[in-house]
Amino acid sequence: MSDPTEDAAYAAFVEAAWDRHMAVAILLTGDRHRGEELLQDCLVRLYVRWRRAALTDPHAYLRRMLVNGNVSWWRRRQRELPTAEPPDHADPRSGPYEQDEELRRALMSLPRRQRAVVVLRHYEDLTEKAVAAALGCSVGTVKSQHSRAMTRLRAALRQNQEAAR
Amino acid sequence: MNDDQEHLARALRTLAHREPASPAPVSELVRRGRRARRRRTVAGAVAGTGLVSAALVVALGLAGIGPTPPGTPPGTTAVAGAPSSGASHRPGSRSLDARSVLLAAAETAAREPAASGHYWYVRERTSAPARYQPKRGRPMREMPFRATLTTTQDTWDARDEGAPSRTVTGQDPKVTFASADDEAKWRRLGSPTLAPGKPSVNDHDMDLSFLIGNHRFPIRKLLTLPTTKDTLESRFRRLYDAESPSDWSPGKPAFGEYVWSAAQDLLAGPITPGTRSALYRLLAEQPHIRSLGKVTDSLGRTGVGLAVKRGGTGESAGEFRLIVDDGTAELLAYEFRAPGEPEPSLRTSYEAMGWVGKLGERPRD
Repeated sequence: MSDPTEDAAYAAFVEAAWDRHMAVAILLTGDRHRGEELLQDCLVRLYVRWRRAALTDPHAYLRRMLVNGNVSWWRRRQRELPTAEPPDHADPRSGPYEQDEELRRALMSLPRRQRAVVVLRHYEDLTEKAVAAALGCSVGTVKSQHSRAMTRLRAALRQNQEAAR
Repeated sequence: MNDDQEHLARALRTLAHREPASPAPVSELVRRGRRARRRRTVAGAVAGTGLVSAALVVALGLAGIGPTPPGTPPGTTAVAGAPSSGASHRPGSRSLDARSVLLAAAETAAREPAASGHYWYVRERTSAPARYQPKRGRPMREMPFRATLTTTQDTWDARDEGAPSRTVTGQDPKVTFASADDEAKWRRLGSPTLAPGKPSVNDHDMDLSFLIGNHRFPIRKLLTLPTTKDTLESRFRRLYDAESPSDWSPGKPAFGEYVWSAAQDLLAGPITPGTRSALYRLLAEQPHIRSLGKVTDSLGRTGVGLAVKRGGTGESAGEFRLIVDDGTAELLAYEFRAPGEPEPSLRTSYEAMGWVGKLGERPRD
């Protein structure tokens, strides 16, 4: 894709999509820097496939890359960087947001696919069918993963609150 | 948390935006994209066609994003013994302990004729807590009333790569309040809408995979699962060993729980009669599965309840229940009960399932 028109369309898409998908990437990875790295990786790959992806829905396409890419990306990173575990504590710059931090820790305690279901259902406000499309699984699987995720999330938040007392 | 979803949504928004966003590095992305595209072109030229492209798709971690849906494929139609409402059950002199039930189901499943088609069809009725999101005002810590939303969904999962799949969700919605008092509270809030206004027809241009743990299995792969207990167990062991502990919390489940969890999806999926039989035999060896005896699903059908309960307040706590028709070995329902809650927070009853030849078609009774 060296066509200037397509480059311009891609650039316009990135401008428009950046904030929205950055938020999802942060929630999926639990970390701003990792989220940005993941999003950039996906956007580079989207450029390669831009002509085809643009025929359908590039936002949905990018979302699929983020969600599915997060698992393989993370495994690859783990091999490359043995210390690249999710941070146990918030970035100190996060400051006083204790409740946010509780939620972040609880979210990060979920298996990655369950976390993706929670983020897509409750942050992106996607329907179950859209979540299924993003994850590449059946809607039934989304339902059961969501149910398990919410049970785990509730328990994790409760444990965090008890630990804080 | 089920009763506080709007609060969760707002908390997630706060979490995602607690630091100011950096600007999009557009030029840098275009430059890296061009470089990546050149690498891909060179690789494709060297390898000819096919394999390298496939590897790139895998590297992207994407399910195939199919082309424009092709025309309706020709196909065969067969019914894989789908359970029907009001299915009769032989009164049992049969033992209803979990192992006996599962071994009997294995025998029954093994006798089922093999069937095939282009689409795996499932019709399911699901009940879950009704979701209420106030459009304005402070987020609610708790739902002001208890209600359940029940809807029906049809799914056609394409067997062939690149073929479109379809779901029709939100059919026959029904809202049930836990009590008259709960309904009165809902009315005082202005009777907000809790159910979808009309069914939604959704065509997906990508494979809808089933899951074994975190491994994705499109239908084509599902159909190649082993058909004897020992080989299926070996396969599950390999999949289990390949699971990354970091994908599970608080840690990887025991092997038996892993199998049980996978069975919840697979028994409603297009596995061969041999695989279904092998899976039941494998489940029969898991000591933590207990029989609840005869139970009734949400459609009023009677089957044998099989449950795995995880106690305490841990992240996996709760009871996962499968209801199996002990006459046909078909899965009737899947239910989940959260700790301390007498009623299931999720109930899915499978009204019909089986192979069909084309989108929109249903199995013959």
